[in-house]
Amino acid sequence: MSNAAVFEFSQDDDRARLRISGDWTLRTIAACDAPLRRIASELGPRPLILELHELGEIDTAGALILDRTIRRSECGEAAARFPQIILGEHAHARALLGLARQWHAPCPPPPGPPLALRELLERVGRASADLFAEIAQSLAFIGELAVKTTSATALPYKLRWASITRHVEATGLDALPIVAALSLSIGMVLAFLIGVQLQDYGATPFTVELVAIAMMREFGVVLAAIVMAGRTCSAFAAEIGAMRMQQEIDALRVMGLDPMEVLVIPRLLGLVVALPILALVATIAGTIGGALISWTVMGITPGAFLTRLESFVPISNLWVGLGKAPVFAAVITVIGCRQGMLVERDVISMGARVTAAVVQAIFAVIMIDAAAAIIFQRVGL
Amino acid sequence: MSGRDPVLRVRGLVSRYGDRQIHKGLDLDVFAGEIVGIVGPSGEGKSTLMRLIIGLDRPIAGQIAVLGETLIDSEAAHTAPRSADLEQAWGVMFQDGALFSSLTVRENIALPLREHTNASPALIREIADMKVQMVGLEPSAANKKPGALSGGMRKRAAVARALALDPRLLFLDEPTAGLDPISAAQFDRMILDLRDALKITVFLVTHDLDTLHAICDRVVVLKGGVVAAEGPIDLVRQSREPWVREYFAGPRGRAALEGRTG
Repeated sequence: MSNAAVFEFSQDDDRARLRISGDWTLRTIAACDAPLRRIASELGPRPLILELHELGEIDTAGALILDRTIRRSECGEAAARFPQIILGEHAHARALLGLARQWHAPCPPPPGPPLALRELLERVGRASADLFAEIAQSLAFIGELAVKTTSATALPYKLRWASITRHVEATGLDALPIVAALSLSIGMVLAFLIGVQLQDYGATPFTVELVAIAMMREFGVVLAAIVMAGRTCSAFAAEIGAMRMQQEIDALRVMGLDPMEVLVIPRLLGLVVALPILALVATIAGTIGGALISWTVMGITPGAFLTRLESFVPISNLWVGLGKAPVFAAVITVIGCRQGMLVERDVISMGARVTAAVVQAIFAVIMIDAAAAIIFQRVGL
Repeated sequence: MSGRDPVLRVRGLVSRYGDRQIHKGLDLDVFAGEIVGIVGPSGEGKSTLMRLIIGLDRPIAGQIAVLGETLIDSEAAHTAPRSADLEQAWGVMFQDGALFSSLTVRENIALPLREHTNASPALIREIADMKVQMVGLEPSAANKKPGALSGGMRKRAAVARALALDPRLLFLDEPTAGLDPISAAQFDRMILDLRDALKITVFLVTHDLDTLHAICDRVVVLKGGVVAAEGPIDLVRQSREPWVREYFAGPRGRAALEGRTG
């Protein structure tokens, strides 16, 4: 459709001549860019004649590179002595060349990358300072939330029950299938690994205790909490972050509503209800998975599995596991909501905050679980 | 107006949003080099019309042809995929600018150039810098991110990006909404200057009566899903359509008229 941009350049002692033909548009000029740059840099102090009799289409980009070439030919102060001459008629080439001249000044260059060592030190310093600020702000957030939750739950009729139940549904009920499926598989894997090892000692029946205790104390609740950290913590951060971007949080404040009370407390209470239920379901599903493998691979019938479960696995294991669930729920909510509140009005910060929320939540869940394991061990539970 | 080939031709356009029919057999022509202002009550599908033309939404029935190429034809069994040339032949400015917030103004303008042309990085930068000045931004704005710009500057930057590929057709959605009257007048002036300099056609969705008076060659009133009135503004003002009468004869309409004549 469009013709290639073509130019012919010739010069003798007293003048240079640039004859152009074809279309000079964004689509066609790329090949002429470098040669014209070279010509412009080599042009001596002599007038340049631009001939555009055979010019087809031209747009601002075409005008830009032509003007750049003839402008360079002016050689500073000698410009007046060597005027540029444009020959040939064209519908709007002259106007566009004029505009290109008017707008030719380059904008300031983008700031270059900072020096490597300096940037390194700067980042280390900034990160250390940020760490302390982060801890202080987290504690402030937790403190504020604790005070407000206590006073809010003291008057249960003032709680936002509709919102709380919605969060129980979204974070708990909707996550049931995935949590159950994951935990079933983990229970099966666990039983398989333990069962095969114990077979060598002729101790396969112990598979029951090992699987059940592992699921009750650790895997059920941790698995549910990690799924929540990935699924719900990110959702909290993104929801509240999007509300920040749309100034909805500001709107709440202006109406005299406390975002903490309207947004954070219902999520907290919702998840505190949902996570123990999920943890229980995960524990049951995992134990069923263990029972399935015990039955099919090791020949322990479900009846025998249940009997052994009843007589050799103290129920306190379950309470130890489920007792951690509300703590995990609170930690996940605090991290998700706080990161959401920190979202600025640009897309990058949204991504960064949601990432931070998920990473911190998973980290916190595993760290707290490790600490709890040691403490419970010492206490003798 | 007749006798010229329209740059944009819409015939029998029908569209629906949820259960509500928005356009009920709308016909519209836009001719080369004119600035057409689309007005109408809120919710009558002005912005939707723009989205239908540029292909972001699909109509239920009707034909849309841009620059002689049929984009949508509900009677044809199969619509040919639109050519890449066409997407580069129009520029679109969304209502809030829709600049990429993680890129600087220069990078925003350079993005379509980098993706759609084989120009060298140096040339792309020259072109981007030219567009920055073309829309009347300070040269220093080139390195700023959209978040650091005022509303008026953001809109200018959005126009610069829309103009990156030297389009022949420019779509503007509510360009002066949210600007103070002085910025809005400057913005109108800029659109007029760009049209004159670059010979582009402008499709403008607006509520701004001053804009209509100041720069629009033709006004199209959307009402009840069809074009209720169209023509030069002085002609449209004479229309008997009640909404049009109220729109132009209301206090704001009179003020805008006085602003133009006075």
